[in-house]
Amino acid sequence: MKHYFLLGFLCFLVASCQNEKVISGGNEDPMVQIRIDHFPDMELEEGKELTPKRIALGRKLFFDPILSRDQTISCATCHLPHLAFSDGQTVAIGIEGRRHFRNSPSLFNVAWQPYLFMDGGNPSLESQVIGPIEEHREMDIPFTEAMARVAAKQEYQNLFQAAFKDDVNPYTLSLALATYERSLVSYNSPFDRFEYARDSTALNTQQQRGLELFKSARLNCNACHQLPLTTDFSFKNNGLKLNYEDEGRARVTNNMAEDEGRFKVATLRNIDLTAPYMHDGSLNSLEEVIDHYASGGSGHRLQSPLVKGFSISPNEKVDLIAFLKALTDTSSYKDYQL
Amino acid sequence: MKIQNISLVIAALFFFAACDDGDDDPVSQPLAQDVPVFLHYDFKFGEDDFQLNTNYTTDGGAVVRYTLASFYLSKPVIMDDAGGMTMLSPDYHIIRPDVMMSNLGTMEPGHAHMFNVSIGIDEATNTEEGANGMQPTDFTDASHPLAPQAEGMYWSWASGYIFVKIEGEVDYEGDGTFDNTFKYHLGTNEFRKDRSTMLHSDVAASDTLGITMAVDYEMFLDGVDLETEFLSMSMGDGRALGIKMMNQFDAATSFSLGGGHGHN
Repeated sequence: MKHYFLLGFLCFLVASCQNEKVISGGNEDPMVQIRIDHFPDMELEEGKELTPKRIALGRKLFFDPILSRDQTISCATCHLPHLAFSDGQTVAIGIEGRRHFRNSPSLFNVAWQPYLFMDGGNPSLESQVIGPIEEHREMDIPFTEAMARVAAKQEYQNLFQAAFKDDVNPYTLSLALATYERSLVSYNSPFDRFEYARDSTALNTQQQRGLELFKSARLNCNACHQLPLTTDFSFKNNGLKLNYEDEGRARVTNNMAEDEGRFKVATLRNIDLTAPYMHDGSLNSLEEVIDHYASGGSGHRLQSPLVKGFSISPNEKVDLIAFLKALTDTSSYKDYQL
Repeated sequence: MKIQNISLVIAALFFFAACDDGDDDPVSQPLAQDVPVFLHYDFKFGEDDFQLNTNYTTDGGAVVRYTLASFYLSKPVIMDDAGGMTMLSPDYHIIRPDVMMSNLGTMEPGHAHMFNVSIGIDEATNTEEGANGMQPTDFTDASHPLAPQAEGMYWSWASGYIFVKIEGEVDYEGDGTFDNTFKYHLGTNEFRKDRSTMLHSDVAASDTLGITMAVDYEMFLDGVDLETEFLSMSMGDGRALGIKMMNQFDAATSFSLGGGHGHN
């Protein structure tokens, strides 16, 4: 089988006179290039290259409760590796049991997301880091205070110097976490092996029937869940509600007339591990999700015309679910352990 | 060998010179006759000097106590009467109640016709719509005004800066017990207030140009029903109140020629 995951040792460094965004590496920490043949190229700004030390540092921070006010939760509390970096909860739960209003999304393949959060309110993995750290219902600590805590630890100072040749600062702290998240790539599921590596045995016949249904004009799943990433990153009102408490995209645009209840199309990769589903975690199983789309939705005034209902037999539903379960691949999180 | 060493030294000197931030460039050095420009701040609650965590009584008898009152100023400019502009620096300032003065750099001697500054962050830099502006995590210098701030002056969920962030408590009856909090987190590009102040001042080489920004935090709450109008994050249902409170802040703010009033 073809190797999708290439760890390339590239020459280092961008020499520059800019005061910001200049990060040096070196042969002691070679760059890691993630290139998946059947994925679009991972676009990285200059200075944001992945290296093993940066990924490992980000991983350590990701699992460290130092970033929450009372030091009881870490990023990994709501993004658990064995659940494809979701948490199995209806909505995210922050310090002191505070409930967020949205379901925790999987972090796999976030490197390809053109904007973050379900409403697309943030343009980069780096700046979104501020969100969960400062959010009252999540970690609830000023970013500056979290940064000071990290900087106060000699171990972290050493790791930042090794990874960035720089101190702990807003840029390096957020970049470390973002770099770890970029390393979380799900690309080698049975579906990938079947569809792109031409391994005809990777999907069984039931899963193959499910794939055909997924692509069929009748169900039209891939109109929004476009392959290979299983999302087109568009914002859609999928008719989940008739009245939305969560404005969705309108929360960012303030355009209720056009954006109410529109959410970014979610990835389906690892979906077997990321229940419950939808922005508010209101659907508990894949069966319920399929039933929702088959029903044609709530008829909300902004519901996508692509959600128009379809007929599906019980056997077909089983086939479709079997295919969805073949989108599971969480192997890459085991890389880059400290 | 010696020639090689000399070449290396020259190359190194060239490299460092190329990386210089311009401090040694005579063109960018403040000239001896340039006029320093200072923006002074005068924060009041009515007639009283304004401080955080201090009780003030409103005309309606309520007692308010501000716990946070921070805002951004950006892109200060002096215009001469021919329309020529002196871009002052730095571009961004975060102002808290304990800030007494900002050094805005210098201008050449001549006529200072008008002073322009924005309350908030300019649209090109404010990234609420995912444009390629600056985000707090772009900064290695944690002290930069646009870097993350202790009071949280950035909405990561809307990728934009909070222009004005005011929080406090209110005791409606003045009976000594605070009944509620008020929070106004005001931002998005629509909220920015571009202010122009006529100066009409001739400044000579030996002068200092002082401008005073006054904010009256009593006026900020004037006409606000704190029993119902106590919370806005500028978005969704709180949009209308946010716009009102930004207008309140704008109305409570004034700029004038002269400076050095100071405050506590």
